[in-house]
Amino acid sequence: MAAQFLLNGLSVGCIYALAALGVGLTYRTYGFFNFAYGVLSALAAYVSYAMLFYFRAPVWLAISAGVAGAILLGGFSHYIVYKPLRSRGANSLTLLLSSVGLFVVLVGCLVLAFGEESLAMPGERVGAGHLVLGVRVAGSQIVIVCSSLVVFLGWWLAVTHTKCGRLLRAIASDEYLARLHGVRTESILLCGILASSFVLALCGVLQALDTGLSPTMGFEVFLAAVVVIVIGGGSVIGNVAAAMFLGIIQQVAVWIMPAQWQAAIVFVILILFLLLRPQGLRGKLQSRTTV
Amino acid sequence: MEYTFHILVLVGIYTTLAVSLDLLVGHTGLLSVAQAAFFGVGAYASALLEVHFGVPFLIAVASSMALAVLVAIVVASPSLRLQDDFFIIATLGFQMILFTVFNNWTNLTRGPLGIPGIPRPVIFGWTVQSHVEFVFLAFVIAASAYLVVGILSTGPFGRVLHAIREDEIFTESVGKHALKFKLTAFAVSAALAACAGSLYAHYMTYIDPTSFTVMESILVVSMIIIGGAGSRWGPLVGAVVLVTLPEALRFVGFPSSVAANLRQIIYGALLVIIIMFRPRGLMGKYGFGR
Repeated sequence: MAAQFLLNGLSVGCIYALAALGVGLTYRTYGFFNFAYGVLSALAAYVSYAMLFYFRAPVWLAISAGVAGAILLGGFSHYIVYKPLRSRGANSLTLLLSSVGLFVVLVGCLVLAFGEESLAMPGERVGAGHLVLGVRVAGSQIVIVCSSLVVFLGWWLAVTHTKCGRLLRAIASDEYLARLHGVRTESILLCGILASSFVLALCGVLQALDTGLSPTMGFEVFLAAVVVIVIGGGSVIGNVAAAMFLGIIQQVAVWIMPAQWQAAIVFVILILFLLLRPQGLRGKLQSRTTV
Repeated sequence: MEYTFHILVLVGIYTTLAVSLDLLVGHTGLLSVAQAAFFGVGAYASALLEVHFGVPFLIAVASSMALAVLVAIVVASPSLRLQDDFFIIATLGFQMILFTVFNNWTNLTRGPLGIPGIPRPVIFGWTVQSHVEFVFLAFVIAASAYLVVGILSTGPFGRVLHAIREDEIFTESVGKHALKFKLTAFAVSAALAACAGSLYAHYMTYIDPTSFTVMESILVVSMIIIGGAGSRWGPLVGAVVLVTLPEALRFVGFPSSVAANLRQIIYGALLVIIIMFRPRGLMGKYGFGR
């Protein structure tokens, strides 16, 4: 029983961690929580769904199309909204509000195109799974955990060992200083937003495999990602650990209370953290060691 | 004509909501995304009191406002310790929690089934029945909300709020207890939203959790930003524009299901455009977040 909770928690935690990496990178570099990410992941899932369902595309093509769509939109939003706003010296609240606007527009578009009802990813058999040592392992869970682990590792390597990652960290620690040293901050920021869009898109596709699609599916994961960033403090390892913690707590909570309260648990944890450990949360996050 | 009156009642209710939130967003500089939750607390509290206990309308409204103040204190005490983005996230968290309560505490709220048969308000023997009477009541409530927010935001109290908005640390340094002022503003704002919620419940005679979602909170925030945060007529203009927008779309010939989504797309786009090109909003003088 406990092992089952652990497994379910891990696979949910992987999804939260992916989202937290993307949302956290934008938070560190741009300085705001990008609400539009909450629907970017849903968009990727819906594009993959449409490719699979309407065009009978092979799975790899469908997923790449979804991810590519989300990345394009992410880059587009940078050029159309965030870049002009930043060049006019907008602060983080303005950026946040504009991302809320984008979020509202995109959710509206998704509902208009696909309807408000939840959809199931074609080809995924509900309830199917393998029994391993008394634990029911769904095929989707294996896919989620394995691909997430690959992405975590790649992300960590990219942040610590590539030039772009180093420059992103430089911008996160002091954008003005980075620009003084000749870093072309706008193009590096664009790289960052593309990378964030990529993990968010992947997160959406994986979530769709797990629980199906709905236009607001990305939003709760986005909020969970914010909670993860608050708990984890922003480093890659901290975020992944906090996401696993949150995923497992959520599963254990279902054991104690009815399942419909599961969504609220994340926010209760957030509030508890705000009440009990506010010193780590005042203003901006404290440790700015890694993105 | 009935239809026009219906729109006017909604304009009154949403103006009350928008002006109550403007006390926080426009005057204090606190972007709260939990206003729909307080709207819901007011609607549920007064509806349940009347349906189950037969409490008279005015007492039900007063108790729902008192409950909203209590909830606001619970919500605000941890949230107000945080700055900018984290304050928004905290209010968002409370919005989600309260929505889950409306949706899942089935013994009390009947969950998604909602509460039907909420009686018409009776005020000192006057039963508010027709649409015209509701328009009158809604406008009286909106005007009172305007009055309360107007008095609070122009007097000495309002000057402290504006000072907090501009520079909180400086305000504290001249001896004003910022947290106390912010908490008061939050509580008043929640009480006014609850009042709007009570009216909404009694007007619709049926409520369910879908009226009190995050999207509804974002809608109210958009009304303020589009109308102009912290300005006198901003909340009214924002409410009028966003309430009549779906009706206008329907009038042009879109089916109502499409009109609802189109409204969402349009007000989202409007929000982005206003922020980019006219951060003061349509009527405003103070650019939020600048």
